[in-house]
Amino acid sequence: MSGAGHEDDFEAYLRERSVLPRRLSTAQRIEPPKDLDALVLGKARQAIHAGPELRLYRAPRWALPVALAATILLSFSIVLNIGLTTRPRDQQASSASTALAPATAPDPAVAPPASQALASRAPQSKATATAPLQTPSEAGPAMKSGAAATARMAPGPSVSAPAGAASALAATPSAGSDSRSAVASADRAEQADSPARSAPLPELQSRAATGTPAKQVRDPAAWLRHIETLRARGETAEADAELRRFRAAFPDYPLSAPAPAAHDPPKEHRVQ
Amino acid sequence: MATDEDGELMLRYARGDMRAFETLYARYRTSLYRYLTRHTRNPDTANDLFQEVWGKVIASRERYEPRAKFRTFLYRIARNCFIDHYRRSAARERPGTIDANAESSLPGPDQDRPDLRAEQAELTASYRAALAALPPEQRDVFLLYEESGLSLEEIAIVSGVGPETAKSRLRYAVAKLRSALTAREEVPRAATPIEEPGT
Repeated sequence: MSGAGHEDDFEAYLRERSVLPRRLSTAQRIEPPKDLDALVLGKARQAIHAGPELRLYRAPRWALPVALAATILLSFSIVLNIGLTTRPRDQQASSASTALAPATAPDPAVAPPASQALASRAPQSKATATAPLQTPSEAGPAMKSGAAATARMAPGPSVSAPAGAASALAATPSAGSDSRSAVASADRAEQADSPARSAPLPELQSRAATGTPAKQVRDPAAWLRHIETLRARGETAEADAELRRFRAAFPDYPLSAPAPAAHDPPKEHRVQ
Repeated sequence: MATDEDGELMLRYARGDMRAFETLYARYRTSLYRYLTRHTRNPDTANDLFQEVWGKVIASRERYEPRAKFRTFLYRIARNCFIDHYRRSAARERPGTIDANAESSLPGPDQDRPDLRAEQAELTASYRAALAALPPEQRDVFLLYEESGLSLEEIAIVSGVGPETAKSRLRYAVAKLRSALTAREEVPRAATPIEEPGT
């Protein structure tokens, strides 16, 4: 059969809507059983008599996309807010830790690796560097003055340390922002430079005159030696003034016996 | 017949009018049952699916919205029910297992003439075999058109395909069925009591 014949045949089928011979199509009337009709109609009747079903709440059509969009927006804003609030805290914490690290790291009493590094660099100064830590006169005041004194205690062992060790300590990262660590390292440097003890004098004087917070971190032993130096030079008035400032800063610090006795300080400046 | 009036009847039934449902049921009971019977080729399965389809229509009366024709709504349910049945039965038995006595046992007119019954049985067997040999998509489109009286546009809606696809499937199905029935008609037979028009 040709294609056109197929097309005509199909068009005829579309009109007649029967592929079967008429006699067969009329004979093949398929009907549902009567009991099936009764079953379906009875079910429909029962559904009506049972009353309307409990209608659950049906949200409008726009509710789902709106809810999705709102959820996404809310989640995004929460995540964004958390990110914005936690980032400055992290930065503050990291900056604080980097600022605190130089103040504590050079302390040989707290950080043994630093002293070990010193020992490895300058083995000949190991004994002198650790010796002051074991003297009760050095450790005692530090324990009394509390946490603030740990920074002051830090230069203690390095008082008699050689210049190389002091420069190594001073060269440790100090972040340049913490004035306390900067002054402490400066104190260590000046104390390590033992032949020229008069060198830190102008700096100490300027600190005393300005009253900057750097004065609070001075090493009491170095301060006493400075006072002793002043007395040795004959500048007793200035030595007395320094001693008063020292006593104001370290009221409980025991003055070493030889120092006042040797230079015969005024009675009001003795240990109360 | 299939007008918006069907949707109105469904709405009336949802409001509690049982007569509206009876009218609706009377309109579609035969065509739906034939569609399901031809598809399943098993009267028991057809009965079950027939109940299931109408049960879903009854259950959806509260949610029914006459946005489309009721006929497409009904046959979409029927088609989905058959597909679900096909999937369920695929595991345990071969789908569309032919019941040899299914259609011969179905009630119909002119069953009191033995000669006509014999010819009908032969034709029915040929038709059934040719229908079973069709691909499922073509068979579905053919049954929706032939047995249920849906238009090509309605078949496209029910099947979820375009009208041209539905028409193409129908064309192939009709060609295959006609070819199978013509081959049977060419076999010499005894004189038939009823003359086929045009022969």
